[in-house]
Amino acid sequence: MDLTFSSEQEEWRDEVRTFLTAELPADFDWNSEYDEDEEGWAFALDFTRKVAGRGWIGLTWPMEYGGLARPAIDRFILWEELIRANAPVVNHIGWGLAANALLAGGTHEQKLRFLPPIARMETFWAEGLTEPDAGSDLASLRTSADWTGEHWIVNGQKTFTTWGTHADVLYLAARTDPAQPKHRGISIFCLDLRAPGVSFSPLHNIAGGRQNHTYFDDVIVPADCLIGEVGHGWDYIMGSFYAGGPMGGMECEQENRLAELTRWCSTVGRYGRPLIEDPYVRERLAELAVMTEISRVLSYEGLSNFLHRRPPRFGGALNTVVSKEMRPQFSQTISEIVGPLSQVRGESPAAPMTGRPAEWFLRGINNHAGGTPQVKRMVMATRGLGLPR
Amino acid sequence: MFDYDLNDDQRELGATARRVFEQAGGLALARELFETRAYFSRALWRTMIELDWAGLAVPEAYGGSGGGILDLYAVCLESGRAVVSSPLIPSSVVAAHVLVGAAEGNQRVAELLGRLASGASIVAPALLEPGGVWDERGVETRLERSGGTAKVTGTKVLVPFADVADRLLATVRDRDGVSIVLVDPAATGVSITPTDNLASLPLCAVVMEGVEVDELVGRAGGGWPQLAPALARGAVLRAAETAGAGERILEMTVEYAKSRQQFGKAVGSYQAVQYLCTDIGIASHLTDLLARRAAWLIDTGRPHQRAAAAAKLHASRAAAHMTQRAHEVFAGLAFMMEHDLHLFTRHAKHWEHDLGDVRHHGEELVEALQREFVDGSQR
Repeated sequence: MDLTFSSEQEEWRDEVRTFLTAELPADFDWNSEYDEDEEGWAFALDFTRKVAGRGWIGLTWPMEYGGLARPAIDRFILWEELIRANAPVVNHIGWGLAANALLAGGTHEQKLRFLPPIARMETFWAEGLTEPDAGSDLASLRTSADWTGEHWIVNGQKTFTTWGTHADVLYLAARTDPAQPKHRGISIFCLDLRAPGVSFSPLHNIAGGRQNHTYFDDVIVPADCLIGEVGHGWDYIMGSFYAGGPMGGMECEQENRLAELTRWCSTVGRYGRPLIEDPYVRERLAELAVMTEISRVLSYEGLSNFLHRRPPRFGGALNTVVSKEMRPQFSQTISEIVGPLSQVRGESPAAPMTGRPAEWFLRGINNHAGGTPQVKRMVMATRGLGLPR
Repeated sequence: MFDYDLNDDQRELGATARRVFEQAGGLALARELFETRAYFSRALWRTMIELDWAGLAVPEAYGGSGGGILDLYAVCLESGRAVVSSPLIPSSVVAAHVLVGAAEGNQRVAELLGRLASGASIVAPALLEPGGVWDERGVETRLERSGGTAKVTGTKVLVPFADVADRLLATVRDRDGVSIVLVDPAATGVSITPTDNLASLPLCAVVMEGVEVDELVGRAGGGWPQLAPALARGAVLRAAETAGAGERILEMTVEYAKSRQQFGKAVGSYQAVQYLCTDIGIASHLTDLLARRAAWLIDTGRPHQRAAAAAKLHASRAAAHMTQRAHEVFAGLAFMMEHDLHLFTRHAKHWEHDLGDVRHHGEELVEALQREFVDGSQR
């Protein structure tokens, strides 16, 4: 057992930290829930371009596709530091799901065409998987792509399209063969969101961001924009969730909040004593500390499994179940410590910790993206423990 | 290279432990000990001694084999799995660690440590008092020193193996603060009474009235800093036992949920039951991950207080949670004594509270947070 990083890796961590210190204001707070604040958005884009300028977006990709061919552990360290600094990195779908699917299933030409612009942060991607009637049961998606002999014609609707109106390209899953069993009839496309027939209607989420309904009305997609092989979309989708390797980082976000809260509890009084001396508060702080340690060990275990190519236990679902269930619990626990003023937002002078607990609470409600904890429990029970469906 | 797994030697040690505990009778032995109130198996303890486990974490200079907590971790996963009651954690880990810290230049402590490491002696940590407080505030047993003699008066509870121990390692208090002494259980003024408990474990009440003791183990008033790292080691290994037990509970429960039919289907196909089963897997696996990291931090001399306290706090909860979840799946079946689950349930109640309960480790955690985030230091 060895949970240390090599001196080269620690130097790499220092390099990232130095960059972040230079580029981000102290105490920077970024709303990870897709804040539509114009200034914040512009800053996030600018910042992400600087990360791209270092080559760090495609850190682990092959050189020929715009990457630096660095090992997965460097990416883990990068993400620990990005999240520790609350860095506003955007375009997750581009360098995350889409790039992973392209790397796994794309042709050499497709990789050459799509990956370098993502690495340079020149194309912005949105996700086109979820539909109004295909959420947890994603494979029942109905958006269709029909082959005309020349190109694909896409019709249908996607939903919860985060940053859709900002994006250039959609990572789209569509049904290319309705006659096949539902998992086998799906293919993945890169769809140009400026193409005729694409339209959006806004969905505003409770944490202050805009997501969207996205509609396709006879949208033409060129043949070479189907990633990999027709009918293999489901495998690319599932593979792309994990292909990039572990990123870690949730523990860094929790550690930050725990530190801020502990300090705040030492400066604020209640019942005629510092809040930190209230036994109830201490008990709840301990709960937060345990949750933070849990995130840390899950991150490290994920990294270790990836590096040693060990299949994760429990069908790989335990980490997601625990992280997802913990997310609202963590912010709720903070709310209970902070007390009634935890509902006050930052604009008010009465807001504790400049209103962060209220924002954390709202963001904490999002534990559904990428699959609900309930679906992950089902995966853990059936694939992980072998219980019958 | 970064690696979360135990190394090959440790895994091999674990495999040996599994075989040894199974050959000794496994759960059938645990049941027999429980039903006959035999408390623990001397034959199995002798086997463990022959395998050098009594001195596994004792430095070679004192007759041990100089291993680490991660080595014992591999053994304790298995002792939890087979619900083994032995002096390994209280004597070979907790007491041994305190003695190691005081052995240099102290011939009698060094000799006792040697006997402990060879398995000839059991040293029972007598720490907890009737107030049930695991930290130094709970120490009310008095030390009175006058002239050349020192006398101890007070009551200790839930002292493991006190009735078979050669020495008790007790926390005592005087105007210097908390110190540590060795008490001869046969000395005048000591009375030891086994305490009836859920798991029929060898837990005793120890009443000491003016008991003469030799000089202190370590520094006067320095008892708690000597004891704290020993408690952390023991707590992490109790967590390992909890994780090992959890694996077995999970196997038993899943197997049953697959085979038991109700309403024409296996009960394990119902999501309510699946949630119970996954809960056990989560509680057990997280306990393992938390405790394994804490053990590694200890062995590599890194700050470990947060990790160890979080591991034991989680393990204490997990011990109760896993057994309760399993009882819900087995329902009436495991409420009956014929079923083995109650053996785990009973021991889990001990593991939950031993070497720091939820309250204690919560306090340890917050003190660590304050040191790190408010005072700006790390321990």
